[in-house]
Amino acid sequence: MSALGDALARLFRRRDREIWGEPPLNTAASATASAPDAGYAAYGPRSSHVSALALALGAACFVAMAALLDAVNLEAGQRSQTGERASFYLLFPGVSSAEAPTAQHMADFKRAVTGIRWLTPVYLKTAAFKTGLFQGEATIIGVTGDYFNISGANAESGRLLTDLDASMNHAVASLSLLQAINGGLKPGQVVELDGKPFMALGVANPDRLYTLPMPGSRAIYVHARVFEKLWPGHPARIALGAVFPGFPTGPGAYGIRNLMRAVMGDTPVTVSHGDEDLDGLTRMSRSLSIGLGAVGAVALLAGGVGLLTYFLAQVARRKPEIVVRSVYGARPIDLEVRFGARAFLITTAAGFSGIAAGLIGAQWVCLREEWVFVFPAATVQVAAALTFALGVVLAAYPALCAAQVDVVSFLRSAQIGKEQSVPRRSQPQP
Amino acid sequence: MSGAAIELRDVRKLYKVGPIFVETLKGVDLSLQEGEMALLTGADREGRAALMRVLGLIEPPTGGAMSIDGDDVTNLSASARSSARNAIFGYVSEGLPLIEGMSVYDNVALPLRMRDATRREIRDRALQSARYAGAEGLLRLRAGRLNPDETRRAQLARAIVGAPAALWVDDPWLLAGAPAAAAIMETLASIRADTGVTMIFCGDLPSGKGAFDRLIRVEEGRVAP
Repeated sequence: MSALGDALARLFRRRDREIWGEPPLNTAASATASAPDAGYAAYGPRSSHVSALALALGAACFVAMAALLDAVNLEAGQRSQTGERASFYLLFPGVSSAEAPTAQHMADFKRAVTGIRWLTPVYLKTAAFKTGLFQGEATIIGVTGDYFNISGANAESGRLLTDLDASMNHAVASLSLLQAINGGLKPGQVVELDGKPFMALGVANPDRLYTLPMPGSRAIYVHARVFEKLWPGHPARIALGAVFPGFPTGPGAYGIRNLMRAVMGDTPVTVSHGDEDLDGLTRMSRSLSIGLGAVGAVALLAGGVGLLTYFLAQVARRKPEIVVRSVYGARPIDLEVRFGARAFLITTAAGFSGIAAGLIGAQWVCLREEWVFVFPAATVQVAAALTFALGVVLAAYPALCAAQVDVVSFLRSAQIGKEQSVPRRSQPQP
Repeated sequence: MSGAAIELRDVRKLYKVGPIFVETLKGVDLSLQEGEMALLTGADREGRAALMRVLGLIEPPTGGAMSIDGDDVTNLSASARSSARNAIFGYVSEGLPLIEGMSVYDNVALPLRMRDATRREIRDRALQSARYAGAEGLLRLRAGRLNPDETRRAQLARAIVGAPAALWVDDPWLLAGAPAAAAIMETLASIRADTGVTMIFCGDLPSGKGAFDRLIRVEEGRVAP
């Protein structure tokens, strides 16, 4: 801070030199020129910088926390979207338990869909997996098109079961995994749905529907919702509902719990849907967001209070200046503008610097962690509004105080001090 | 610069001290001629300081009438009073120090900046007034660095920079008789001789009448005959 004060002092001297030229050598002025610049030092805006820094830090925390939490949420969301969630043409009957699909299911599907290689039910079938990180044998205990998190007392079940899970020897296999193991639709395979030819192009992510015209046929990615649309209320939908996203998850969890019980006996397990986990994570991070945002807001407020205190102290300390200006013709509005503008500028500059610093910091962390940076527009707006409001309040109050300084009281108190300090006629100095 | 004729008729001043009102000025009749150099004297708490503030348009009288050069200034609004102070008076007082954070030049230029004068005008007049007051060599310094003598010279430069019609001087140091103060009093006398400005002082003289045309003694809230 003293470096800043020195720089400002140099700036003043340079401006003075520009106006007045070099100082004369033999004056009282030059004699005192080497004395410490106590007057300027007293005027130096040290504490305002500290408070402004606090306010800027508050704004930075406020914005950075929001941006990072958004990024973390997005990251979590993206993680949950990876892997093979709901898959496409699940023309697979009956998955709610270890039972085989009913004859009715089979009949329904065969009637609705032709030209498809039927998948064999693989419940409780041991198969060799070689996919992703996982290599080895696992017992397939069910199929699911979605994430289910299975946790319990048994350590081996305390993992998220995915296609890529490398440590489990029991897998809740996703449809895509089953597809990979057992064949099923291949890209380019043509199926007929309601008498219309469709070409399978691959596995679709949930909530996405692509259509692509192909010569002589229509090629689409289809997922369960398409299926539902084509065959609303189809009995297979009820069976499949357990394993598709967007459908009630209760039956799916129930089915998996049954499967786990069949495999693991009475070991207590908890089965939750991936979306539920994501919801929980989102709720938690939102709470964290609010908490950390509140911390940022408190920091913002603390900085603001610090600045307000500083400005009020400035008004108190600069009372002689205010009185001089008043006596020499400054109107209250002149004083308000003079003191208010400075307070407003310092506050808003600090706040907006903090917002910028927060954004830059958050972006840096995101780059470092390879997260996707999300511009927290709402938070920035809130922070900017708070900063502006703080600026107005912090400017208005000290400005009003400055305008209300009582000149007469000040002069009267100066008079009293003068009477005490100056020798009277009845007490002549020796 | 030319002097101002100040006229007070039955001027009264009431102050509220807690629940009671205290009448400090109890009907002051006073007439200051253009170019006159007058000293208000009197014991403490007799109304001398209050009369000075009323004379300097720092506070309005509670009753009576006051005019400057024939213009009634008794009931001016706060804003008009501010403008009038800037236009009519220059102030030298211990209670109105130089602003420490600013250079002497900026302090001297302060009254002109209240008038939105141009930079050139401010510079020329500040230089001229500093030269008049013997403060030319101080302009580049910070106000906080000056010794008492230099401070008074800088204050004097600030007081006369706006070409006031009256100088309002409330500084016992100037009247105490020290050699440095005597030199400044000589400067003031020469300013009066050159410009014809009216000068109102407040304080006590060690002896005699000094350079003053008139000593006005304030007793019990009135001007003593």
